[in-house]
Amino acid sequence: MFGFTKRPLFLIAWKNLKTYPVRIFLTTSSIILGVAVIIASNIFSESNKSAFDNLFIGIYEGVDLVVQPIQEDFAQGFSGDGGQGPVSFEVKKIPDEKIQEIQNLPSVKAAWGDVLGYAQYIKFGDRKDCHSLSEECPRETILVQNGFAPTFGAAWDNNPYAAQWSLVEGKPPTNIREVVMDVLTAENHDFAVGDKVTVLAGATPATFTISGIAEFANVGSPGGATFALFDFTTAQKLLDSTGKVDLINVVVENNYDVNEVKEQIASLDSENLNVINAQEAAAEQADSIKQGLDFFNTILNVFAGIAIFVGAFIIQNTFRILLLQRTKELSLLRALGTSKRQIYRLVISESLFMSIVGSGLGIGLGIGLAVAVKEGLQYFEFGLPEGPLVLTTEAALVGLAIGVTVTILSSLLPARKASQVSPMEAIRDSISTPKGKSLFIRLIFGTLISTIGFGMLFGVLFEFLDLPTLSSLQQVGFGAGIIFIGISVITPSITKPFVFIFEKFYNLIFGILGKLATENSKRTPRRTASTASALMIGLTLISLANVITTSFKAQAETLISEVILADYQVSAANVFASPGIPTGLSEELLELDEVTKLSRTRATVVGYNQRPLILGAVDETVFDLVKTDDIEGSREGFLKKDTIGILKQTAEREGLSVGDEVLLTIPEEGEKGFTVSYIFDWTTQPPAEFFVLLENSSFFSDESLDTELYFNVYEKTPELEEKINSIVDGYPGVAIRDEDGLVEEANNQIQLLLNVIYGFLSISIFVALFGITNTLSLSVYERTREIGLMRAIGTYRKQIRRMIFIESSIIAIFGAALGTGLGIFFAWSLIQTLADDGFTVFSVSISQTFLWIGISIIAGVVAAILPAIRASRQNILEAISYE
Amino acid sequence: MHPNIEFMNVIISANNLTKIYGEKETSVTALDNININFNEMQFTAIMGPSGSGKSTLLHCLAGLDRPSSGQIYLKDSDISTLNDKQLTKIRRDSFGFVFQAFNLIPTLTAEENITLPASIAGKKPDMDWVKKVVETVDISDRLTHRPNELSGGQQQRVAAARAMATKPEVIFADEPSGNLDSKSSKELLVFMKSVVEELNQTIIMVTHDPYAASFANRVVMLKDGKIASDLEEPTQEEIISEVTALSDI
Repeated sequence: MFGFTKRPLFLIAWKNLKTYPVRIFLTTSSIILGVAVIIASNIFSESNKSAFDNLFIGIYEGVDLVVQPIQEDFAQGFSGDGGQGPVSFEVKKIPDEKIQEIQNLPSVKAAWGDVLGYAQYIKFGDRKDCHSLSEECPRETILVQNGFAPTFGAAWDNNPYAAQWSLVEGKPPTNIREVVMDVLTAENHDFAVGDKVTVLAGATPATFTISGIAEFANVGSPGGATFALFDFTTAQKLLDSTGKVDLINVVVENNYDVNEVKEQIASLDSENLNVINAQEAAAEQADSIKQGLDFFNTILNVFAGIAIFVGAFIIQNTFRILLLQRTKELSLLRALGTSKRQIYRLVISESLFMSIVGSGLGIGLGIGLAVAVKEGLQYFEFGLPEGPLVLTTEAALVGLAIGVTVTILSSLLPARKASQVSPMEAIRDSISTPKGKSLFIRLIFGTLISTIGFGMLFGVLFEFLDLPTLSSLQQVGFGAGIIFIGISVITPSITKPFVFIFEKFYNLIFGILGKLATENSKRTPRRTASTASALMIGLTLISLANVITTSFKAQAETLISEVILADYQVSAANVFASPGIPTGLSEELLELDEVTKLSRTRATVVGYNQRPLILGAVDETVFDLVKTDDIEGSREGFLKKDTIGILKQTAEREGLSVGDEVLLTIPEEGEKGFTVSYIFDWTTQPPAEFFVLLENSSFFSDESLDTELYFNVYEKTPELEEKINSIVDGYPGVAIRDEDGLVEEANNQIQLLLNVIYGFLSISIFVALFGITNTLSLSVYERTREIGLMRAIGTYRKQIRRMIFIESSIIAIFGAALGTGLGIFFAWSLIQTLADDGFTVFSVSISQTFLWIGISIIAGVVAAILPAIRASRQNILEAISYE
Repeated sequence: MHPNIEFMNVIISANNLTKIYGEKETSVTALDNININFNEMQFTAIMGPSGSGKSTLLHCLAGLDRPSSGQIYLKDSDISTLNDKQLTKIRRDSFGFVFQAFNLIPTLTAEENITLPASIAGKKPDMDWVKKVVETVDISDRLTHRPNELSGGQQQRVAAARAMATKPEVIFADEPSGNLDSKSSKELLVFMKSVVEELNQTIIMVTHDPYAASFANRVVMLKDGKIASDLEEPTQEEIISEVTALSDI
């Protein structure tokens, strides 16, 4: 039966896609990946948000009101970090009596206090090798932690109304020697009920028996933190809360209005107590965590954006390739009377189909990716809250919209080109290689664009152009972006000269195959260039990240050796987990004869002009152990009582100079006036903004912890090092480093960041792989006869494959070289721009650079595997015979 | 020893060569039990109407296609059982090829095309020989040009030079003058004849053109996959009458 269709082209488009599903996959592979990353990051953050919402609602389930102490104004800004970190600022707490007072109200059914603070589980490893004959060698101490999550101590609560923690095993802590551990920590670190465990809470570690293992609102532990749960009075004693609690939970009697009771409680002590609804408290706590997740989500989206940007290049290329392979078909349609406009629409409707399918697959892959990420994090013991994965309709629509828009935009140019196919093409026999227009216009146009970019960039570096609305960093950034676009336009024109550089070399190594490969890549410079461009984007970003971080490392190294004059530095092993260094350590170190000079640093939060500031207290010796530069006043003046030293930047910001009076609000002390005696520059990361001399400052209690110690020794010897280490080992949670250790630590942190960036940018290289595969497939298809001829006259299959691999490596090297060059140049520009901010070192890691170029070449060869196999298996007779 | 040796100078021969395309009901017998010897230093033309199997015979002899049954001997060795790699090596080292069109790699110069088989083999071409070949085909002044800068006749002569550059045992030519005008066609054929007579090469050529066949020492006619006649040193008239006779049957 003959069917009549009103939309024949639509039908053709549909039939095409149905017949060649692989095409859909090849064309949209990059969109699939990009959309997948967007969707995955969205699912991941949305799911965690809802899980955290549920978690905090769960925590306060059964609780009606939460009573918090009102913190002093200046301390409010710090309440977000839960009082962790090296700065020991005094958080106000609620005295125990208040609990009873609230409990006594007739409207209150129950009231109980919560105590939370720092506590660190400690495990002991094997005995270390040491050469001490008389004493027992110390054992290695291991700080128990789940990933990077914090370590907490809290009170076990027995109230029957809202049990946050519920025992999985064992019994609650009943005395000063018992502790309940969270189930996550117990599982991760192999603890069981009845085990002895050492806990560091406050200044001295003590040993406890694990009486039970508990879970928290159905998760092992909130946020993966480790929890040591003590009985109430023990918790107060250990967590610096004797006679006090951090907050009070209130359950209201059934027949009372919650809001009335809220006001009742507040009126008990409105100066010190703040009463909020439990839901509010839950939302507040959930929000602070969600902000952190949003940041992570933003980063993921940036990388997804890069993947999609690279994808747009590849889609455009692939469309062009597919349409070229269908020249005959399109030309036949033209010959049969289809208009150019109809051909254009045919191609666009095909791309619409593909984009919808691709985005759909992307969404599916994204869901899979989200599951994988969640499982992965679970595997690495991050202890995220349990909960279903949530895909919002909004997120799915955004993913779909991005996928469809990018695909269709990328297909516009190829579609226009396809519509211009001559109806004569169908009759011709040969497979034509397209003859491009002159590349000269491109060269001029691209050079023009790049010149504008270079102008903006060098304008900042050599101070001849300063665009009014942009900061210098923005100007450099925009300049770099414009240069990048300009170079992308130029690449086809420089393909030939670039390949020319390699030609001799390739001919020498690979003989005639090298010659053939180089000639082939010169044959379609546009295609070679746009394929290389996709790789160029990834490599630009990678080498940018590489050079910036290498330079930062070099910078850190120089800085550390210049500014740390001390032989050793002591600090908390993990600033997120431990509050500081027990004061006993400095005393023990000073007892050593070999220690010639030691300085302590302490810090506390004070109020200045209604804002929080960190006040540091230092020993006089600090100026000999850390490099400081005098700006105004003198050290001698600083040694006097009731005087204060100020960092250069702070003095400038606050408009203070020597002789001025400053009024500080000191916790538990009240207001106190100081005279500015000394303004100086602390050349490393300063521990505080205002400084006083430790021996002059009575308000730093003796129980305080030190934040940093610096000391010099008479002579560094292995024996002494061992002696020092064995002292430091007695203080778990404290780390000692010499200069090499400091440099290494700084480098490790930078390297970790770099590795994360590398991981994400690898996606763009992966996307570029598809582009290379597509280009080579077309290349092979166009050269069917050539390859057939070569096979006929005696070229091995292996040699054909090798030829394709060589061609692929040329594309890869082209993209990698351009990208690396641009990345290094951009990094250099950036560092020059930041010179005023103290970044002076520009350093390129040669090994990393070549590593990534090597990876690109390998990637190129991998991408060539399929086209190469296809080429080598080509049927000779089909290729050379004529009908 | 295979059974078909009549003269000591047989270079390549087919023994009970059969080639069937397709499966069962749809199968077509392109070559039907063919036995034939080709002698050294001879210019042989294979003729026949479309579908007679002449191209298939050439492809099987040249190791480009595999027989369905029967053997092909290059001198004393059976090449019909070789694997792809061994066969490729034979094509490279022992055979030369001239096809109807698309004989040259467009990105390589004439000279690079001529030395291509040697380059692929990783060998240095025998330059004295190559020079001699190039002079014989009269393209010395065209060596640095790319194929698209050469006329059709020049391209085919470069292809012929390439076919001889490795001193192959046999040169296979598949309608070498098919795409050429009559002047270029004659030049090429004269050259091919001189290659056999003066440089002692062996050529097996497929053609449907009696004029082209008249340059050969021997003309083999195929019809329906069988040898219909075998003429020694025929004139053009003899060939035409034979072709006419074949198509009349």
